[in-house]
Amino acid sequence: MKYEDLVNTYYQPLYWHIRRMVVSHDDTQDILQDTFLKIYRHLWTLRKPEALRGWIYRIAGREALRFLERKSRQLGTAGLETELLERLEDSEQVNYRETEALALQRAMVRLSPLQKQVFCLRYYNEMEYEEIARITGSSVNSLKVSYHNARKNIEEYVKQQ
Amino acid sequence: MSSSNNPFLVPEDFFPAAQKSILASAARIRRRRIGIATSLAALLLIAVPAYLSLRPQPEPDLYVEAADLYDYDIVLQIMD
Amino acid sequence: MKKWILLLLAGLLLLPVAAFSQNRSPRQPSRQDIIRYNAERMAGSLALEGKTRTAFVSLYGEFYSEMLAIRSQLKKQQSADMDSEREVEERILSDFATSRKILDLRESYYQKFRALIPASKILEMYQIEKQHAEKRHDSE
Repeated sequence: MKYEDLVNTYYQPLYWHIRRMVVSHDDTQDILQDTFLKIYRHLWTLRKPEALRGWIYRIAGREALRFLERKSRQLGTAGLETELLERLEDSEQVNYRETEALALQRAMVRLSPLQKQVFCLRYYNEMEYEEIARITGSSVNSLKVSYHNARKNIEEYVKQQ
Repeated sequence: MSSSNNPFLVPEDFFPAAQKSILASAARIRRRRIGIATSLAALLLIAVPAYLSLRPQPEPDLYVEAADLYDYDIVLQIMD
Repeated sequence: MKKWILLLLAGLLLLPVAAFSQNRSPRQPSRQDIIRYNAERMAGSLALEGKTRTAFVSLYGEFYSEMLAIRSQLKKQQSADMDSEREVEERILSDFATSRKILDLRESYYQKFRALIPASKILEMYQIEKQHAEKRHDSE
């Protein structure tokens, strides 16, 4: 696939995927810059064109997780959660009328980075576990467990609100 | 569940501009790579022949032929 | 695109290898190369210039060419066996002839050289030839 078509096809989906994990628009944009740079540099290494989508999401996911890890080291796990929640209260970042969606996002803040990623890919992108496994490098079974736990955590949180 | 469940706000006209910027970055990288490759190629095309021509050519020992006559060459033998 | 560039670079990198390997094999100069080389070199050693140099190079080339002809004959004679009395005698006599040929050659060219350069230069020429010959002999 030509790089230009790739950017036009995947920019928005990746944007949403990453934003759901890191919340801030600016952070998402930065992560996407790095992601697409890596994609451009390594596109020639991709052997199977049918593996493109998985490969792209793997790069994007890794960049997002790297970002969250860095933030977590700086602020601590609790500190990171607080920052993400604050962003979700920022009227410049979110639309308050989307109450359900907002509640879901608040619940997701509490998930581990891997759970966040798995949940997003399964729930929002509706990907099969096999593809998620290729993206995350985890086994299908551990992914099912991750997703199940993520859903439980989210449902519990939403019930409390 | 619907995947358009989205509370996030995005600046207006963000996506086209962002995509353009990404493509511009890629174009810069491509130009830089081509520049490097071309420079390297040009360098080799200049350096290699220059090296070969400037490198002291082993002087062919062409006197060896006439020198074979030295033992019979009276004029040279009696020379100081 | 990247593969194309890599292939191009790889090809270019092989160029010096190919060229270098060509230079390693001993060059086999032609007879004309040898003659011209020696003539030019002698003209340079004698610091000759202009028309004198051109004429000298041509003359020395002729002289040298005749020397090489004598050398060819000598080589043939030297490769002959010396097993019988007859063969030994033949060898001795041919050695005399070789010396004589060289001497006659030098004498006949002396006047021709003299028309171009002074006697002192001719002497210098002989001395240079001797140096080259001795250097060659020493290295054997």
